[in-house]
This record gives sequence, structure tokens and C-alpha cells, in this order.
Amino acid sequence: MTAVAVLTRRFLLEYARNPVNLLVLVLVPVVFVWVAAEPMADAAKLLGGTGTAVETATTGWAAAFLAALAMYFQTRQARSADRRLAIAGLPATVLVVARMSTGLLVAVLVSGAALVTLFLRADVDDPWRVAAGALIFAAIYVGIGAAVGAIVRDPVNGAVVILLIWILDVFFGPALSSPDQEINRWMPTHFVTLWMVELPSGHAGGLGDLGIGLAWTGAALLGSSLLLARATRAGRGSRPSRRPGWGRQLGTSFRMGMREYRRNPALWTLLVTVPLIFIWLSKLITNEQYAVMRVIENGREIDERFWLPDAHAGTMAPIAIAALATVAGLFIALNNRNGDRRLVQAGIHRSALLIGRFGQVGVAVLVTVAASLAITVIIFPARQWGAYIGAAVLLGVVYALLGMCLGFLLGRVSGVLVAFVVPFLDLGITQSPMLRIEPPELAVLLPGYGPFRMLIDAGLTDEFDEVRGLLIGSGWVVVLALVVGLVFATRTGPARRRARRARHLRAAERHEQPALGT
Amino acid sequence: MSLDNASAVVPVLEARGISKTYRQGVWPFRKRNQVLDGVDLTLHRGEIIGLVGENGSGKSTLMQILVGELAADAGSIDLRGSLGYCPQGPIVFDRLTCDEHFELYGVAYELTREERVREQQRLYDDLDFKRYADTRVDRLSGGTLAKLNLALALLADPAVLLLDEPYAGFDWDTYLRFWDLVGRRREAGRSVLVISHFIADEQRFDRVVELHDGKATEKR
Repeated sequence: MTAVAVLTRRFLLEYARNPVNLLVLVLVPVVFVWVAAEPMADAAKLLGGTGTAVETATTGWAAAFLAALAMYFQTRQARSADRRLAIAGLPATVLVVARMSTGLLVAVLVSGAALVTLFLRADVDDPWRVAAGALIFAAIYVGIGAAVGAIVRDPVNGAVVILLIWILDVFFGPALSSPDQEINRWMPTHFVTLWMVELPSGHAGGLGDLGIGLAWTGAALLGSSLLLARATRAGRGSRPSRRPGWGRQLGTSFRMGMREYRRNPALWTLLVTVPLIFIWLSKLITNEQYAVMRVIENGREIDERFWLPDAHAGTMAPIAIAALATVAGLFIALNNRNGDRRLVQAGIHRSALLIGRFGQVGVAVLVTVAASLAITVIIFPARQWGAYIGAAVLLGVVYALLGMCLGFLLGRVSGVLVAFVVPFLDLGITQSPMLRIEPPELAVLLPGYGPFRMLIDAGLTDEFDEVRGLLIGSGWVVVLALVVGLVFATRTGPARRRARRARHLRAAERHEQPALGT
Repeated sequence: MSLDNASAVVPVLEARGISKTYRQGVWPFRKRNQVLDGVDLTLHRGEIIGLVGENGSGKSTLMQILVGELAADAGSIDLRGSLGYCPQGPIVFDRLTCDEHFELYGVAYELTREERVREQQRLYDDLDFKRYADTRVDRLSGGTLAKLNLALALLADPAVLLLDEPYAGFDWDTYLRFWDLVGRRREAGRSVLVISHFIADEQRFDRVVELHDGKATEKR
């Protein structure tokens, strides 16, 4: 506490030793409230606002603008000095609390100047309420000023950002615009303005106008404090980067994997053309006739008649998704398996690398599903789109993991052959509702069974009844992920049994040995 | 004995009695091909050793066992310090650039960004391929790819460097640069094991070990 008090006093003294600062902080609110209040009240009436409230609100506006600018320049100019204090050992929390306290005390000063001017100029019914309102205005803008100071380096840009926020807040606030406009409610001082001028908003819920105004204040001060702490952390930006740990290994392997994946134009062509041709053609070639399919509705199995041209595409999309997801998983595993082994030898954590690859496969599944459903949505009216999309993603994940298994175990040609045959046999033949009213009993053993039952249920019925399908599909995901993990660990793990495990140099080891070229 | 002398005497890599037999075909027609038969190999600090042998003599098998890619049937390996490995064929990610490979391997070696950038720059200069920093690997010439392959093994400045046919594909200038680089490693106390089916400049090595009939014998 002592440290905060000492720092706050010093910061205030430093601020006060620039007389121009003090002059501006007092003069601007005075002039603003004295001169601008009346014309703005007239303008407010023209804009549909509550003109009579404007004169009161000007105190808040003046206090807010000045408090924000003062806080912005305080944090901006002291950034290097604050970092030095942090390097010297001052905890960031103490520093931030002191900076925020300084900003709040300056806010009290500017609010005071504005309020005194208002009280001299006009009769105010409830001066305590107006004073509290002006302080809340200023406190919110102390937060805004600190946040901008923590983010925007250039003083011109910072000042412009603050001006922009303030102008939007003023002109879309309840004093100058209609308080009933929904978008206006998101302005920082919307509720506190209404509370200050005693015009209940009617849309503040249980918290009330004052409660939401205080919530804005708390959020602004807390959020900006966090940003400020981040910005003033010792040596941030110039400090040597940290030695990468598990998290960065994961992030980098995922990022590089995605970058490599992105640079495969053939794959993107495949992703767009296969669903387009496959799903669209399935619509075009379907005979105009009805087909009976067994579905579950409200927990009961029923045989329902469907117009095939409308339903067929919905059952063909899963085949496209599964085939493409398998190929995606296959090639991610296949193309990276030697490189991944070398990376593990270099020291990367296998779990970080594997999770990075899972992430890459996950993105591939989402892209595959999105590409397929973009066509499907035009020609197939699914009854439950949310569940249909979820089932499609689940199917994609199951088959992508299956593709990864194939990629680790098989070669390029055999892998691709199996990757195309399995989804076709599973979804195109065994599960297909076009060939039989319901799949044979043994179909439950195939990976596509669960997600496909979900797709049928979500696509053709109004209620979701396929919890069993969801569980079966999720089970496949867990089992296949474990298999992939096991195969990956085996393929990338050390074969040496009796040898001592070697690791690459850590910092300490590196320091023990003379560096090359030195 | 001083600490320096002690560290020079204790080998940084010691392989003892390494044996490996490949089995081919199915029983009862299975054939056994013993490639390594109790190979001993030691590598001391600051040493450059050449490992030579005819095609099929087991050089790459021994290298894979030393690296840990392949399990030996018998024998043990002691490694003191870090290990860098440059495989014979470039093992890289086709659609990543040279810079991106350095970033990825820097993270794998747990180097800080500054360490990685410094070493990366030095390797670009030493091997003269900086102009390809932003080029995708699948668009590099064979020689430049070999440089990248070698540079990735060198990035973490390992105590022991195992190089499998490292200069295949190098032009004469790069070959000389390679030996300059290896010479500097020796001066810094690092050890290098170079595998090659023939060795042209024997004077560049401290020792040359020949693999023949599954045994390792020192040539000089």
C-alpha cells in the first residue's frame, strides 16, 4: 500500500510540474460546460434527443474526454520509465494500481472543474447525483484512456482513437439521440447518462441504470489494468524470447503444418470439385420417385416415404465427406511421417507434435464438411440443420482418424485405394437407405454407422433421436485417436533400448561449451 | 587428472558390441543376413571420424542404430551430450520454406528465437544459401536441399554430429565450405562422425574406421 501511495504521489507531482497540463485540465471542462452546453442542448432537440438533459450531461462528457486523454498521455509517456521500474523489481500490480490511482485522481480534478462550472451556470435539482454521474463518466474514460495507452503507441493515433470513441459515445448517447435505439445501448456511458439526468431507461434489467453504469466502470478499469500490466511487464518486446516449451512446440507444429497444407493447390481443387460433382450429380441422376426409409421419430421406428430427388443428396453428402476426410487424414499422416520422426529426434515433444497434427486434421475435416455442405444446403432441405452439421463433422473426424491410421501403416498407393474403398463400402453400400430399408445388423460394426444414423435422423426427421448413433460415433473417435497415438508413438519413438537417452543441449549445457565461431 | 583431460578421455559416444541381423523371407525359407557383428566404436570430444565401407557393409544400419531409429540385436550405446543427425536423403517438409524449417526445428530443439536466428544466419552464411531463405523446399536444387538437410542437423550446435553421406550433391566450393565448418566444430570441441562409401581426403579425419564383414577396424 505504501508503495502505491508513494508512486501515486510522485506520478501526480510529475504531472503537476507541467503547468500547461493543469491549465488544460481545468480550463477545458470549464469552457466546454460554460460555452457549449446550450448550443448542444438545442442540437439535441433537433436530433431527437432529450435536450434538457444535455446541459447536465456536458459535465460528464467534459470530464470523460479530459480524463481519458490525461490517462492516455500519462501511460504513453511513462511506458519506458515504468518498464525500467518493473525491471528494477517493482511488481506490475503495484505499478498499475499507482497509475490507475493517478488517473482517477486527475479524473476527480477535471470532474470537479466541470461540476463547479455547471453549478455556477445553472440550477441543478440533485447535485449529488450529477456529481456521482460525472465521476462515473470520468472513471469509465480513465479505463478507456489506459487501454488505448497500453495498445496504441503513436500519440496522434492514440488521441484520434480516444476522440472517435468519445464522439460516438456522445452523439449516439441518450442525450443527443433517441435512448430507445438498440445500438445506442452499447455506448459506454449510455446508462450512466440516463441515471445522471433521472430518465430511467426501462431496459436496464435487474441491475438498473446505475448498476450497469458501475459495471461499465468496473470492466473498463479492470480490463485496462490488465492491458497496462501486460504492456509494462519488464522488458516486454525487447526481452529475449523464452525457450520454447510444450505449448509453443504444439503451436508451431500446428502452424507449420497448416502452412504446408495450405500450399497444396491440388488438395483445394479436390475439396471443391469432388463435393460439387458428386453431390450435385446425385441430385441430377435421381429418379423421380418415392422411397421408403426406416427412421426414428419420437423414439419410435417408423417407415416413412420420401421423395428421392429431395432426399438423395442428403445421403450422398456423407460419402463425399468421409472420402475426403479419409484422404486428408491419410496424406497428413503419410506426408509427415518421416519428417515427424526427424523432429522427434531433434527433441520436439511427441505429444505436442501429435496434437498439432490432430489440429491440422481437425481443420481439414471442417473445411471438408464446409465444402460438402455448401453444395448440400442448396439441394437438400435437412429438417435439423444443427444436428446434421454436427453429425457430418463427427463422420469426418471418424474417417479422418481412420485415414491417419492408414497413412501411418500403408504406403501411398495402397493407402489411397483403401481410403476410397472403405467409405464407399461402408456408407455407399452397407449403410445406404437407398438399397435397403435399414442397414444390416453387422453394419453397426463399421465406422460410419453411428454418424450416418445421426445424419439420416437429422436430415429426414424433426426430432433428434439418435443418441445411440452419437455414442457409437464418439466411441470410434476415442478408439481411433488412441490407435493413432499408439502408432505415432511407435513410429517416432526411439528403437534403442539399452542406450542412454540423449537430449539436445539445453541452455545450461550450451553455456558450458564454447560456441562455434567465437 | 584435470577436468579438461578427463573430458577428453571419456568418449562422448561409445558403442559396444553392436550386432544386427536382418531376416528376409518367411519360414522355412527365411534367410538371415548379419550386417553388424559386435561393432565397437568410440568418438571423443573434438574428434572427426570417417566411417567407410562397401555398399551393403552396414554403415547406414550402424548410423540408424546410433541415432536410435533402429534397435540393435545386441550391444549398448552411451551418449554424453546432445546428438545431431543428418540423414542421407533429405527428410524435410516439401512445401515449407528454408526459413520455416529453421523456425520449426528451432522450436523442436528448444532454442530461443534469438539463438535460432543467430545460428540460422551463421549456417546460411557458412553454407551460402541465404538467397533461398524464402524458397519452398520442393523448389530447391538437390545441392541446396542437401545444404538445408545438413544445416538442420547443425542448428542446435550438438556435441556429437552424425552425418550420413553429407556432401553428396555438393559442388566443390560447398564441399570446401563444409570442411571449414567441420574444422570449426572440431576447434570448439564438438565431435563429428562422417559416413561415406569412399573417403577422398583422409587427412581431414582424425581416424577412419572401416566396416567389413560386420566388423569395424581402424584404418590408421
